Amino acid sequence: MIRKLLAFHFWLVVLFLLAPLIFLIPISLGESQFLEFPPKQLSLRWYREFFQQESWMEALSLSFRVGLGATALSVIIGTLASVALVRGNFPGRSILTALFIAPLIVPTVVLALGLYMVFLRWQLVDNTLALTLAHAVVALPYSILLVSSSLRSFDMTIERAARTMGAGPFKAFMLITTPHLAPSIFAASVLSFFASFDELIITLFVSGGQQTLPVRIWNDLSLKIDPTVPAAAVMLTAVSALLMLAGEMVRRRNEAHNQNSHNAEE
Amino acid sequence: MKDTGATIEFRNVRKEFGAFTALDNFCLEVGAGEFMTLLGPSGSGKTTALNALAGFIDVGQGDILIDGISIRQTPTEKRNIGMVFQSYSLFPHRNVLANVSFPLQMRKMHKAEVRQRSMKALEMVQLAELAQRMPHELSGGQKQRVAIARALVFEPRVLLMDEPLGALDLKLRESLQLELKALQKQIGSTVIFVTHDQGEALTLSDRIAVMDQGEIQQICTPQELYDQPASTFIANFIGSNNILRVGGADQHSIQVEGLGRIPLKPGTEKPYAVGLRPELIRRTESDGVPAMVEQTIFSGEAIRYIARTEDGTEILLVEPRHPGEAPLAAGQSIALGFDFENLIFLPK
Ligand SMILES: Nc1ncnc2c1ncn2[C@@H]1O[C@H](COP(=O)(O)OP(=O)(O)OP(=O)(O)O)[C@@H](O)[C@H]1O
Ligand SMILES: [Mg+2]
Repeated sequence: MIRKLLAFHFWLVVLFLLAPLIFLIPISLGESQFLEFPPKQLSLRWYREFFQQESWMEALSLSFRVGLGATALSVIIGTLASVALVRGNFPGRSILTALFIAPLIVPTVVLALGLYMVFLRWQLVDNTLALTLAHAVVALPYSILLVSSSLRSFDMTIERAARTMGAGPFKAFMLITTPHLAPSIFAASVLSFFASFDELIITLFVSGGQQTLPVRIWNDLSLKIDPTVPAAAVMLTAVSALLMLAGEMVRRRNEAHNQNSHNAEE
Repeated sequence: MKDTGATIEFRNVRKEFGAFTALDNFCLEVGAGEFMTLLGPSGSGKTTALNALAGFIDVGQGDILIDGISIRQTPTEKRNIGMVFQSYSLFPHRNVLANVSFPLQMRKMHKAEVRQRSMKALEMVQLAELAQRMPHELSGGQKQRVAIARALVFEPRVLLMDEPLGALDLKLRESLQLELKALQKQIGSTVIFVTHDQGEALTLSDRIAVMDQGEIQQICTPQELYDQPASTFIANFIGSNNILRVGGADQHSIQVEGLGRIPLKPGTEKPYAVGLRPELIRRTESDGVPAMVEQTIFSGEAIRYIARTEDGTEILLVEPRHPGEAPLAAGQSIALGFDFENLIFLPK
């Protein structure tokens, strides 16, 4: 009885999560000028439209550039900061950790307003680099959380062993510790990329006239709405799902590997 | 092989962690090619001493010298010290061969030579067939041997081993002990070996330094340590011992609990306590110390008796077992004989 109830509940939740897609996919595949459900005739017209309209392509390109830039910043700064936070021994370490994680907790609107005011003062609104930086702030907590926890689980004496064998501190870290961190760095880049790729609110505040993909969708919604928007949304979802899947697979493989080595220790 | 080991000297090294003193005025000289063991209870500062020598921690005061040259300013990677850790510490993402090759690669050696030397090191520890395995595919003893090969492959003149056999079972331990000793003889490095297993220390070492609370209590050969421990702490720590309190004394004799009046050589100070090894006590027919057997313990090659003398002192004695001969039962009366020269006079 309870199991049946649980199963029912499970499917209800799945349905709830998938509901937008259940509508979006058919609508995006319609032929008509207007949003139509169910579509009378199927076609890829709006997908073609998406790739042919320059404003969509520009938005897509900006999203990718900002996303990749923010990912790189988040992962590099996040890894370096993790080393300091996990291994360092200085006062204020926990306060600093909290500060790095804060963007995950502070309401996005508050963060957006703060960034907007800073950017206004330094005339950074409508600046792609500054936008990338703003996105990196949002993505950084993911890198810090993932890489720190992975670093914490790495036995420091292994790196020390490498030092006794003639590797300097940097070499020992790169050759011995980084392979252990690689899966979490990969996961951090996936999450960072999506933190940026999906980001709307902060972008609306600080991007000035520039349109990332979410901003472009948002702007379209307030003007007219044709099925290019659902087409864009479906593709956005598909790309997210694929990358998340890849991330999950890496995580699983790594877990299985750890499991093995753990069993061998027993 | 060609080089012999380096000399090592700790000169008044002091290391504090906050308010806690882990090494206190620590002095130790190790000769070239010597096998020196640091022996002591948990928390006595053994690992701290090795870490200071390897350069993982800064020493607060004092100096450490290798071949008479201070290494305080030398970073770990330039100290040329091989180290085997208690936790194996193999590189998890490299296979056995790549683990052993690592120190040679760091020395920018030619590829062919790296391979040849690494394989030779693996052959020394009898693991050549497992060269392609990953660390998590090895047993504990195999991991430990890889760690040893990796520490020896670059022929360091100093080799540090922190309880390298601690995690292994008794059989494996004993066979690896012999292997280790043979390898060290062959290579000639100076070894500092850490253990809290006194049997291991006695078997392997040229000399043993007994540590307690960050200080060295006694440094000497295994035999001297066993026969002439410098304190009650050491007498208790090395092997088993009967430690007997000393009562009243006059010019020529002392009163020892359990044993009665013992003559004192003229000129010797009254000791704090007297030690008597259980294997140096024998049962006699007459004129011994009368005692009563309280407990009989069978321990394989020997039998241990706990006996109580008339003044209530517990005495442990050990006898080799004679098959076919029934051991004494509890409650039996015996007489204990011993030689005066086997008594250990403990100053503290
Ligand atoms: N990083 C540290 N911070 C604070 N105290 C420390 C630190 N490292 C060691 N200690 C303390 O110093 C003392 C000596 O430690 P050490 O590791 O040298 O002991 P040990 O003789 O190797 O013991 P064991 O046989 O258990 O390995 C211990 O009391 C330990 O708690
Ligand atoms: Mg230790």
